[in-house]
Amino acid sequence: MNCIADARPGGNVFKYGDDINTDLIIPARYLSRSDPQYLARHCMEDLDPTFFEQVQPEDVIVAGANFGCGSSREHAPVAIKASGVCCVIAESFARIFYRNAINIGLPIIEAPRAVDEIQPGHSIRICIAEGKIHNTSTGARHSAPPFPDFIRDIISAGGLIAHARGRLAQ
Amino acid sequence: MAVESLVERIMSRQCGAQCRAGDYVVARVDRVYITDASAPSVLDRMEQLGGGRPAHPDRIALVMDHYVPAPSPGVAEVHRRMRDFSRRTGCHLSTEGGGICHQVLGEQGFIRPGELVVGADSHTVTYGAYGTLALGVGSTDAAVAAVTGRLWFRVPDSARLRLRDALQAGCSGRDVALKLNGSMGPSGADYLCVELWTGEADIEPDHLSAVANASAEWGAKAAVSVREEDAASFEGATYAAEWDVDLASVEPFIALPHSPHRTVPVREVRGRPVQLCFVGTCAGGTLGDLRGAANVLRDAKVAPDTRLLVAPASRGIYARALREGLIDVLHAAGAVILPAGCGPCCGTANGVPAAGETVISTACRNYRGRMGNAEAEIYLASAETVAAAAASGCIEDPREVWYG
Repeated sequence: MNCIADARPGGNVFKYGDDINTDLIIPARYLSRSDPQYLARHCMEDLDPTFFEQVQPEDVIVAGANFGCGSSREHAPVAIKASGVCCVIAESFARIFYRNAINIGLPIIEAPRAVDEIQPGHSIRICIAEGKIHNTSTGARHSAPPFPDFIRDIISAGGLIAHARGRLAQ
Repeated sequence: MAVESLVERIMSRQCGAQCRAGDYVVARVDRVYITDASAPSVLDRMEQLGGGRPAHPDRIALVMDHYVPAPSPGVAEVHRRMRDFSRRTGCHLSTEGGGICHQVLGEQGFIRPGELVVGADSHTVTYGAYGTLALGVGSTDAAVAAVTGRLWFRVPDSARLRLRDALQAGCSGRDVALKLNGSMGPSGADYLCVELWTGEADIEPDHLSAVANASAEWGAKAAVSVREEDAASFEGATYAAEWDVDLASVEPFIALPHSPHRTVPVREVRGRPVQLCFVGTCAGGTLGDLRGAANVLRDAKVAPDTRLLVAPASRGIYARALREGLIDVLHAAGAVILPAGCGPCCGTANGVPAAGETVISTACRNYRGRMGNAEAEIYLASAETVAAAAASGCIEDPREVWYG
């Protein structure tokens, strides 16, 4: 499992509050399609209508508690991943969003102190495997508890589909 | 040796080995269900896993409920894909008008008490009212469970929610749910299996179903009813949290826009004009809810400048409501009766509010944009309270309208 790349130099941090629910991440009116690029175009549109115009590869979402609460729609992490966001850092994640993000390979980190410290405009470097976050704009370093081995196996395989295919092939 | 919790007991059986809270396990899944909102991505992923041919098609159900009848060519294509898949594999299919997955599959005998079930919808927890360990999952989880018959879980800690006594007339399980939404908040039962203890309560299954449904809003992994005959066997089990609700003290509650957790007693917001009223969904479309709405609207009319939509949660409920004359009462009052299904709950079917309108609904959630218009304000309440608002044209305590 490699460290993911630096956030784009001078790239965006999108900062949101607590309880960002899946209706805000991707409204249900778009769920009849599963094409990631289509979903990305509507990502966050009821909360932050300019999100898709502004987001660039390697940008980061930083959010408060209970990110991804509400429905079970996997379209939510899929839309975020397809928008180019390379990682979501939150104080905490809602249960199903947490599973879905791991299962589809969207990097996520629970790091409440990092959420307090990181502001829009900062550049950050993240190592998912080690749970390390380095804010290169301020010099601050943050860490999160690493994932249990079981979850690391799924992440290493590239998500649950690849993991299950590996098992089915055995 | 510590006493096993209900979820540990079920998980141990499904794994064929002793499981304890905190363990990561791979468990056998008894049933998997998929809606028309999740089918496109679930079926894609099943194909990625090997041709989409499941080992046990009889354990898989596809349900058309979110977008019925199909409102666009794209959705019609999704529905056709579901029909084709069912025909090809032999899996269970519930078509448009059959009803909401969290209701109709129980009526059709697909979901049974005591089983481990996953559904690709967060309100799958609703089946916990019938003693099923029913967990909401995403599309990838549902696909893996459907193809392999197994899925990974972290065995959750347990909590106990004890209900006592009985509801007052004019109050429903939805009021209990909304009151709990407020006290629990969005993460009050995070990752927990909430055991529902009703041995000291007199509560109808439809009302308990509304409580189990709401556990999705508290961050719970599941809510499961404990059978009275099993209660003694959990003596000495440990709980991460315990809550007590005296049903007799529950009054009508309402959630303010734009969060299901901003709940207050209805009396605090009486008089607010409403334009769109909706009775239906997995949270408020049961026969008990339709009876509650019809009781309020008998010999009444929907107020001018207000409209009422009603969607029974299943075809079976629709049929019983017809036989009991409830549909007649609601129709005569001026309601528009929609097909059994999710209705306008999440903006996927007809019944979208206009910008600036105030909506009162029995639905589970009122997040901004939920019903397809980010400029609408949505309040959540019981079927009785929604019917009272429809009759009054403004938010009203149903006990005032009913007995007033």
